[in-house]
Amino acid sequence: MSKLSGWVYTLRSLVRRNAADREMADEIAFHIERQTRKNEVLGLSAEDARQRALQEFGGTTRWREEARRARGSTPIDLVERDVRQAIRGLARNPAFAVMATLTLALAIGANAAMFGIVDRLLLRGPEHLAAPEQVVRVYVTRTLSNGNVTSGLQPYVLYRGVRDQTSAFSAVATYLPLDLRVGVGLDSRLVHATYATPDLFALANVHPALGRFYTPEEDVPSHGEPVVVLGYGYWQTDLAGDSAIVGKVVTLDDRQFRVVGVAPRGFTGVERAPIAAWLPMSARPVDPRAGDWTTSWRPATPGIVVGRLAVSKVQAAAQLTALVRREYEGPDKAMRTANVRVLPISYDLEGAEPRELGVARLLAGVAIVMLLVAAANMTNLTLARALSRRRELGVRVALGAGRWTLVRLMVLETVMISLLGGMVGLALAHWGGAVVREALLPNVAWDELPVNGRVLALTIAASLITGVVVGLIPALRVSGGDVALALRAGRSDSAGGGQAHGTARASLQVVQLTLSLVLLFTAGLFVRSLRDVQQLDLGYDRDRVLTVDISFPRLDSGGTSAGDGGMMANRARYEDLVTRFERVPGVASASIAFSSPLSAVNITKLRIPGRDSVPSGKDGMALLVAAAPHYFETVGTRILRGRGIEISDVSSAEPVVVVNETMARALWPGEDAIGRCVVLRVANGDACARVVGIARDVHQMTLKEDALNQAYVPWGQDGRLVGGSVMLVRGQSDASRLIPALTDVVRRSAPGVRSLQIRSFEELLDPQVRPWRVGATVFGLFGAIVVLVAAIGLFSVVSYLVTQRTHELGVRIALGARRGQVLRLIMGGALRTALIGAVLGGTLSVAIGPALQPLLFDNAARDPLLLAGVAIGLLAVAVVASAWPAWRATRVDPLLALRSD
Amino acid sequence: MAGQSSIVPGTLEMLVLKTLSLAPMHGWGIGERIQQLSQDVFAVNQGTLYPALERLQRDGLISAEWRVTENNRRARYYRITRSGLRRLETEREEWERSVRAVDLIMRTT
Repeated sequence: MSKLSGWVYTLRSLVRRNAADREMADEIAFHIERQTRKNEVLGLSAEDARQRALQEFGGTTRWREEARRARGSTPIDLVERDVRQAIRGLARNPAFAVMATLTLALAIGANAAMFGIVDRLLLRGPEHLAAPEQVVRVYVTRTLSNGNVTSGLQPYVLYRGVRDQTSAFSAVATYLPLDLRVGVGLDSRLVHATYATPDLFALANVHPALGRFYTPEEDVPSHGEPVVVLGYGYWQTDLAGDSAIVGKVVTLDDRQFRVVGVAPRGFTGVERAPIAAWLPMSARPVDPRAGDWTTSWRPATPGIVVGRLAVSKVQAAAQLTALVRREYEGPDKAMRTANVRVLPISYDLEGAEPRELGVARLLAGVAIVMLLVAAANMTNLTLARALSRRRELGVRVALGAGRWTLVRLMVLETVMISLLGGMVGLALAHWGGAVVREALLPNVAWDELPVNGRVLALTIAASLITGVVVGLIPALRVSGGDVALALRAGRSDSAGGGQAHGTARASLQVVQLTLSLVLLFTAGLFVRSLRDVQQLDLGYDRDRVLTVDISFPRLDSGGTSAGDGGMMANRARYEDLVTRFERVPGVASASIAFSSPLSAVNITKLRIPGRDSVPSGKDGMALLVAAAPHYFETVGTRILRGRGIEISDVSSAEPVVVVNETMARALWPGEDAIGRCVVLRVANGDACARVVGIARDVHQMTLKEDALNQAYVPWGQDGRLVGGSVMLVRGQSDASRLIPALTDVVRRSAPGVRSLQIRSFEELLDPQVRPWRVGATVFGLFGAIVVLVAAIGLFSVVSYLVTQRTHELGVRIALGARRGQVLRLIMGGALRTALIGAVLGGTLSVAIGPALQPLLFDNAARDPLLLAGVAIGLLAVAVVASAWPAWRATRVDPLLALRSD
Repeated sequence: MAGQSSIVPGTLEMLVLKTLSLAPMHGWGIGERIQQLSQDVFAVNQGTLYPALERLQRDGLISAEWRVTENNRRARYYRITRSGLRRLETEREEWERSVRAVDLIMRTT
């Protein structure tokens, strides 16, 4: 009771520390005053009376201090004292302090940076979207003969059905992200835009920053003037934040839109890319021939359907499945047995989690492993240091310090180091986080700073916890036994209590090395994936070829552009430019193609005259490319047999085709395809095309795709395969250097172009390569850090051991121990630890392999050679890190060592 | 001031409690009172009073409040608490026992 009230008293005086001090000063002043008065009454002069009073009191400052101490303001004072002591302790061993701080800074920095990314991507969802975990995307899975096909793109009619006929969602919307062109001609650029039904705003529960959102009445096909809600960022940068923008007209993709409002800052809908403009779903350009998109089950322009769950996911999926099976109208039988799933909004259009998210999550996990490694390392160092300080601690105990005083002191030291490390780590996260997130996911609307409040809070918490744990373990161990014994034992204590501590130290090192190995192995897998991706033969040269994507102004040749004359004029524009490109210095060759790799996909049905059955499934289809002369040499696709497309093919009437290996094998197995005849529905109607050559297989759109039938027909024969073509330019060396020259050609010879984009194949592939590149880079970096940390840890622990055993070693050397023996003595332990770590790490690596598999490119997660290489490398590092201090041990001068005690 | 001596070590807090058990008092008054009650034998080292008062307060044996003195001056008055009275009782017994013991020893011839 009295103890409790004593605490309360102390606490209160702590809280009002200044007030209490002031009161005490008042009280003493009152005392002096009274005593002075008394002395005056006794006959002293005023001055003397006061002097005498002060004298009798015995020093006001001193007693005020004493009183304050008695009041029990101890905690703060103690902390002050402890902190000062801890700083002194650390300053005595700056190498330890700096090393430990840096180690932790790297680990904590990595965690802060990765948390910032994972937080935004996985934990918090898009900005402004309330309760993102309740918002889901609708996917329809159809079961076809060759497996399930899942699609996240749904017809408008499905959206309307979900909205009007089910109770699955409290709010539902459909939208379609699309790039729009702003500006004119060569200065134009593409911005991200989204066509969305107005209920998307309601679903997200946002309010416009300016004006209003568009209404359902403005989102009907017959609505007169198209309207737009601008994105905040676009409004700020491109329109200078014009506060009178509402009511004005902006031009997007050559169409005029009246601005009705501005979306709130950072609003990205249910996705994460910054959006420059929000347009009504009905403002999409639609092909009138495709029928009424609001009622068709197979519209040319479907959308993504999202909803806020009102029931469980299972119930929602069941309701929607029933709806689709009931309402579907059309020829696709698979739709009558289709299943609807609802999945998180972060998933891609195929209903899978994007690889970037997997990589981000893995990197965050790795960052935590790094922190564990760093913490294990620092615990070890602290333990070693604590052992070498046993004498100091013994003296403290002898002077009356209790066990908890020692523990407090040691923990305070590590907490200070880890907080310092956390601060440096935040700086690293600020700089590194920006790099990682730009590299990993450039199309995400990030918070402005990599370090926000949440990251800060996490970092401080991680630092504190690390500091306490790292300090507590060694402190409890060391202060355990009889510390006073240590005082007597002096230096040779390592022989006695050293055994238990040795085990602790060794197991911490094993943990550290195990984790290091796993991390290095993972890094190795990613590096291999990246290498495989970069060396993957796609069937064309990715670094030497540029695609020139151009949009010509509409032909105003009197009649319709579909006419023959119009087609010829259109062809001529491409051919004219290509001829000019060929003359640019540094250009090896140039060509034209309709749906060349990485630009578009165009599919045709196949038929072989004389065969009864049309080949079914994949075999009955082919990717169709219309290629101009020099196409194959320009993109670098080899012709295996026969010839490519030549000038004579374009002008001559005979339809010819170049097929790829797969198609030759599929349609004429075991026979020579050259000279055969095939009907390509799209290109030739019912006419038969003669196979004149066989080309290598080419990856049309992605790094990973099954080989498909591919057919190349002469470009320009069919007018439908001309508009929207791209030009291809092969450089003699690095193609990207040609871009300015090519742009200049376009500027001079085709001034009216509406847009121009020149990109290398490499650039077009980049989004696909990115996850591996980032994975390999960041993993490599993390791996290097962890190995460095482990090496420093081994080195310092062995160093400490050597210092501790100087006396013993001196004796041994004096008694005639050879260098080799001393080396073995010191290094033996370290190497045993490293070996155990390598074995455990190897086992763990094999165990987690399957979990990594989906993130890797084709190569197996089990790679014995890589594993062995990493293990040997790590062992080599261990040898080097322990050999140096061990070698120093052999230089111990026995005389000095013996005298030193 | 001749003939004065410091108070017996370790008894200051007991003496303060005793003084306050008679009437609430401010710091200076307590010192004066001890001197007075000891018939000027004990001179309290005045500064030591204040740490002692803080300790007693912390232990909940006395409480303090600011009041206005008869001369219209603000001063902190201390008052003994119930547990202070109990403590005073045990200390007094303890003291008497040791005084008797010392006395016995000193009388032994």
